[in-house]
Order: sequence, then structure tokens, then C-alpha cells
Amino acid sequence: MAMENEAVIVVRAQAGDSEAFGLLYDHYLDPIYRFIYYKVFSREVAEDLASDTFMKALKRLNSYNADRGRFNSWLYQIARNTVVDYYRTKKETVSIDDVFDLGHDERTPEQFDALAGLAKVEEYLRTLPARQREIITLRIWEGKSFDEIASILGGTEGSVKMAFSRSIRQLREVCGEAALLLFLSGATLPFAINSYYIHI
Amino acid sequence: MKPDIETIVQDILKDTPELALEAEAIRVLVSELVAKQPTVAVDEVFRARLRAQLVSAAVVPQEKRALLPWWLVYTVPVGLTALLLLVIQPPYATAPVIPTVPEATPSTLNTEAPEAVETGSYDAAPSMMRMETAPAMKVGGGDAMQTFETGLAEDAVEAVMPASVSEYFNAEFTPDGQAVRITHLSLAVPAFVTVSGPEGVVTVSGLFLPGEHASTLLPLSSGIRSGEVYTAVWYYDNGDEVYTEGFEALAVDWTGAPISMTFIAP
Repeated sequence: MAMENEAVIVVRAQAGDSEAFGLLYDHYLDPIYRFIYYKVFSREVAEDLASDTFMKALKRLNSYNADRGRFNSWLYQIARNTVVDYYRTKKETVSIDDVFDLGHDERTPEQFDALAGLAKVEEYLRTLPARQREIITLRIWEGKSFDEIASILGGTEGSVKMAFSRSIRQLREVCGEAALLLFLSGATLPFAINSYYIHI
Repeated sequence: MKPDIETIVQDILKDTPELALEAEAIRVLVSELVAKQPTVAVDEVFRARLRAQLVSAAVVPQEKRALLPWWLVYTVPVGLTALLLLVIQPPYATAPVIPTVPEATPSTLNTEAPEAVETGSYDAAPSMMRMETAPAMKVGGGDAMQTFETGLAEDAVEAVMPASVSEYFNAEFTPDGQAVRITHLSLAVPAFVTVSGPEGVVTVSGLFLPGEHASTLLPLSSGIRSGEVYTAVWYYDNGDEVYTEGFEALAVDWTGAPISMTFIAP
């Protein structure tokens, strides 16, 4: 959806055109669902929270002001807050920065089996602060620009860029010689295991 | 659209030139991260069901928005009358005109005269706030979390949010459970903090002035229940420097969500 088109569609939706909101939903359901899934690692919970996110977006649609930021950033923020609220209702003390670290309870025994080989991966990724892990996810997996990431997570584009580079450097340092040796031998990196259940 | 690996690597090397010597290892690292993105597919039944719900729900609010809310029908004339009385009131008159307004129209006090007071008070940081209608938190009674999505839209003040709430606001119970400690709070405009739980509001702060505040203790006005979730929220002062439930402007972020911090009673 082109930006110009999106702006028009948002205005139409704000004016009460339900099908326009349907178009926004069609465009954003998949990325928002993935964004949530990476934090909860449960299909059921991700569906519930995605529903909540879009219901809240619909309810608050008229409070969205395009002068304040992009629609997708606004939507991601609602999704992010919805995930935090989910953990709050589970009575876990949580800072928004720590949401990444709370998904373990959602894992099934099968997932734990799959995770057995991923202990090292998590060890590496957990060396990064949650915000840096979120930046990696949004940049590499979701293809967000640094500008978009800054508007979703807060902060400036420059600070997000620096955090991203710092994360990669940290990962590189953590992997250390092992990564290089594996690369030279044609093998894969230590964290290149079935990453479906990577808790990033 | 996903950035290609080379773009990502070049971004990194541009921002962190010292990694140039390790460019190849970085390229492998990024390649692996890109290649191993989890495959997450939305269930098609769920997709269709939610779309139908949203499209049907989207129609109702628009119909409602076409009409004035019932409370506005009654309170606007009252507010305008009060404003008129204030304007024409001679300086020597002592009749208490203003106090009758909040009693009659508690949910709309800030839409009239107080707004002018706020504008004057917050001139120091006009870009930090904007009055708008947003879902508000009901402070008294009930489950603290459920109240976030309930209640009529009240006046709310939007704050410019940094990276996360915890960067400028954090609260916790003292170990003995006798008070709430606001460990840090960074404000651009005068505000109050309230803490509520299953039994309602357990403490309300005095007025926090703009600036940085650290380690402020708020004694509890009632007992707390161990293990229950409590929520601290901000209300911006409406100009009278006294917290009155229902009369202060709830601080929200730009998505309309209240700025809050939850924690568990010891």
C-alpha cells in the first residue's frame, strides 16, 4: 500500500468507511501478528492480542493524527502496549523493555524439545538488551527502516542505527572465533539452528 | 520490503567503521539472521473472522459519532452559562458561581474554563502536550487493569513518549508494603500520580512540579493485598494544584493508552 494511498484510506476509515478499515487490516494483519508472535510464541495468544490490537485501533482511530507520525508506527505502538498489558494481566511485574524475556511460559513441551538445540542461540541473543533485540527483529526480519523503528520504539533514527550496529558488533564478539571457524569451514553459525523458536 | 543483506551490512559498516576488518563475518552473521526468520503464518479462518468483526464494528462508532454525546448536550450549555457569568460578574460580587459547575458537570469540567488555565500554566512546555479525547482510566474501584478500557472518554493530555515508560517513570512498593516509592519521575508539566488496585485508589501523590524527582515516598491511605497487581498512572494538574478525582487530565501516549506502571504488592 503506497503511503499516499494509505493516508487517504486512513482518512476514509476515520470518516466511518468500514471497508477502508478493512483494507488497513488486510495490509497490516500479517506484520502485526508476527510482531506479536515474536514476543509471545503462542499462536492462540498471538491471535488474541492481534484481535485486541485491531479492536483498540478501531476504537481509537479518530485520535490518530497523521501530523504526529505514520499510521503503521501508531499501530505498532498499540500492539506493543497490548503485549505489555497481556503480561500485566498475568501478574508479572514488567517493564516494557523486558517483554521479550517473558515468553517462556507459553512454550509447550514440544517447543522445549525444539529449544534444546537453541540454548546457545538464546545465550547469544540474551547478551543483548531487549531493545536491541527488538531493533534486530524489526530491521532484519520485518525490514523496517531505522526511521520507522525509531517511531515505533521511541528515540531518534541515529540512536536506533547506533543500537543496531552495536547489537551486531556484540553478537559478533559473543560468537567470536567460533563463528569465523564455522564460516571458514563452510558450516553455519552457532545460532543458525532451527530458529523457528528463537526467543528473540 | 526487506532490505537486502548487502544493504544491511553496508549500513553497519557505515555506522561502525571499526568493523570493516570483520566485514565478511558480519555478512555471514546477517545472512544467517535473515535466512532464519521464523515462519509465522496467520490462520486463514482467524483472519476472515476478525476482519468480519472489525468491519461490522467499524460501522457502529461512526453512527454514534454523528450525534452529540448525551452528556455534551447538557453540559455545554451549563459550561457556557458559567463562562458567561464569570465574564459579566462585577469585581465586587461574591456570589459563588464557579463551584456549582463541577458538581453539575463532573466529566466535562476541563472542556471549558480550566482549559484556559492549563494553557497559561503549561506555556513552559507547549509542545509536550495536546488536549484530546482519549480512553481514560477509571480511578476508583474494580480491577485495576480492567479499568483501562472502561469509562467515557475524558479529557486526556498526550505526552511525548521517549523510548519507554520506565525511562522516565518507575514505581514500586516499599518492602514493608506501607508505601509506594516513585523511584524516578521526569515531568515537563505539573502532575499527580495515583496508585490503584483491586480495592480502588490506595494513594495519591501531592503535586509534582516539572523536573526530575527521585525516590519519593507515597504513604498508603488503605491496606493492600499481597500478590495483587497495582497500577500507577499520571494525571496532569488542571491548574488548581489539588488532585480531585475525575477532574484531572489523564496522561496518555499518542496511541491513546494511559501512561502507567504496574507492580505487584509484596
